[in-house]
Amino acid sequence: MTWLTWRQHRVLFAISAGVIFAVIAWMVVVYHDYTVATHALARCPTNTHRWGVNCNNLFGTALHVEDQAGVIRVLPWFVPALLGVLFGAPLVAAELERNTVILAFTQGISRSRWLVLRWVVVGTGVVALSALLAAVSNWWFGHVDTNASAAYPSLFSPTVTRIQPGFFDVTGIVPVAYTFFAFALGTALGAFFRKVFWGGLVTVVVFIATRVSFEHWVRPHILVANFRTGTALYSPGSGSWIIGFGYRHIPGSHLPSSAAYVNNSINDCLRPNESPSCLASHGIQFGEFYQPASHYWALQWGEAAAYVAAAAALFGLTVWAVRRWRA
Amino acid sequence: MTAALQAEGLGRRYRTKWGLRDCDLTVPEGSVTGLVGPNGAGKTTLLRMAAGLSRPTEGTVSIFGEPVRPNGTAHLQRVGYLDQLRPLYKGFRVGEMLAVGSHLNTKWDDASARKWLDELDIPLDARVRNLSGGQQAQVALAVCMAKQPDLLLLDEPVASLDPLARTRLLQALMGLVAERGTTVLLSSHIISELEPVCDYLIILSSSRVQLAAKTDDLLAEHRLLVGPASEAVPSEAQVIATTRTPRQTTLLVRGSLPAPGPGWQHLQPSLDEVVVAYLSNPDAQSVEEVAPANSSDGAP
Repeated sequence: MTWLTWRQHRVLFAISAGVIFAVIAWMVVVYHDYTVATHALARCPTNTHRWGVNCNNLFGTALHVEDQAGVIRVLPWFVPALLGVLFGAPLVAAELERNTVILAFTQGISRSRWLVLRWVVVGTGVVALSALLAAVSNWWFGHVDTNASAAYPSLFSPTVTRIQPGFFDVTGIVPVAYTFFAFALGTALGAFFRKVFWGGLVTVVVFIATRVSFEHWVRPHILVANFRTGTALYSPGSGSWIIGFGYRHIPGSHLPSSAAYVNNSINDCLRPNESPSCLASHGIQFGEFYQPASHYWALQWGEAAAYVAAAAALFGLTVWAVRRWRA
Repeated sequence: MTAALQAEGLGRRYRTKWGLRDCDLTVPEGSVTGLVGPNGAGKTTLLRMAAGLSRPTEGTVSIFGEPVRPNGTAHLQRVGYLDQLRPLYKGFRVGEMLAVGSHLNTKWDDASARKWLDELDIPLDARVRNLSGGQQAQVALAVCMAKQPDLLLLDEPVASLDPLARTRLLQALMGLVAERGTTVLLSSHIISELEPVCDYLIILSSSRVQLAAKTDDLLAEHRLLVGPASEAVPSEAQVIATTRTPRQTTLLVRGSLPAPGPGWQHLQPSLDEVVVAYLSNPDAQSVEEVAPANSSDGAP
């Protein structure tokens, strides 16, 4: 069964591996150019009006590198969905469409064994490719943005903070969890629809919807958010992820903390001007909810565990669908 | 005598239509059984249920005494199945299709499969999609037979084969039965070719079993009566089918008959003529009971 699965997927796997290696090679080249350009620019005068031809040329090169870096920052976002759909959607659906399951189910192995071995072999390959890209991404995102943006904040992207959306999704271990989930989703929907096309299409839609919903509604609450108020508000940097602004009951206050009380208090304090002292007298404060940079790994593990659990459930559904199939 | 395949009250419904209904039949072990019937009669439905690809809506089907469960493995090793779609991995080479069989089965006779394909001049490194329909059917057959099953279920195995290939296949099947006691159940439209090969015949018509009997008994029990067009039909005979032309009347009758009257001839019908007569008369039924090994009653 291992041989059969490999034989059926070898071309697709080779192409995917080739593309991933090409992307990795590109990332290494861009990193190299980036380092060279920023080191050279560091020797240019701080006053840009005093730049000569060489510095201007270097600056042009640096901008060009930055354009490429901009594309690389976005690329890993697509990889999980692509790998999941390409390998997952046809895993069961292609065999159902072409009726080759009739051949597979009348040899010497049971349907469950056929599916489980197939799923595990292809899933391992997909996860391995994704892990490779994730490892390189972690290295790349850690190095590329820190130097230049500190020196020329107006030209290069702001300092990367790993915990913020957009960067959280392409670093750490979650990209591998996303890929695993997309693969399981593709397989399950393919088995359900019995068609590669519809299985793949719906997988992309559901995957995007899940990612967006989870990021918006679940991730902020994996760990209880911190709260700060006063002069620390509205300050960028510090590497934290600002979830939102709002009111909360002051911890330790003896005044009630129910939502109804909080709402009434806010209304009371609206006229004439909402002031911290009015709020404080009601035992309420206004500030920002945020996840500090130190919560990064906790959020990573929490999100990865959720996606892996969902993938396991989808695997169970796929087994059920295959056992249920009738010619 | 044990039954290689036994169906009791077997039926399968597709939404509102019954593909097969009230099917009671027994395929004797070690026999070559022909399954004939018009399109849509339920032959493929029956074979797919026997192979564990479909679940019956009602009734049961058993192979060598064990009920067939689609998710079970007991029957998989003992049954070889050739579907009418001849599913193969089109991108694979012929040699790789044999490798599939050897990887997925516990018993595998690679040498005989290679010999079979070699005699047909089908190269092992040809890609399946580049082969003709008949050649693909032969590859599918080779994969099916090389796992050395005790029961072979073949859905129209000779349909896409040239006449020479058909003869070769039927002879090979008889050889399997003789050497290893394999039971063969094959469905076909070409009844004249089944006649020298099959020792048991099942006719499916309108999703039901119309007739199940040994071919020898069938041929012994039926007579073709040919007489002048105007003559009345002898009343004692059980007439299965009547064909009238302006010049003569032809009757297929069952049972013992008195001596032919003037102008009448009694002829031995071919199996083809018997089957066609039954198919044209859906009300005629003849189901011979094959006593199971543990029955205390004698066979009728």
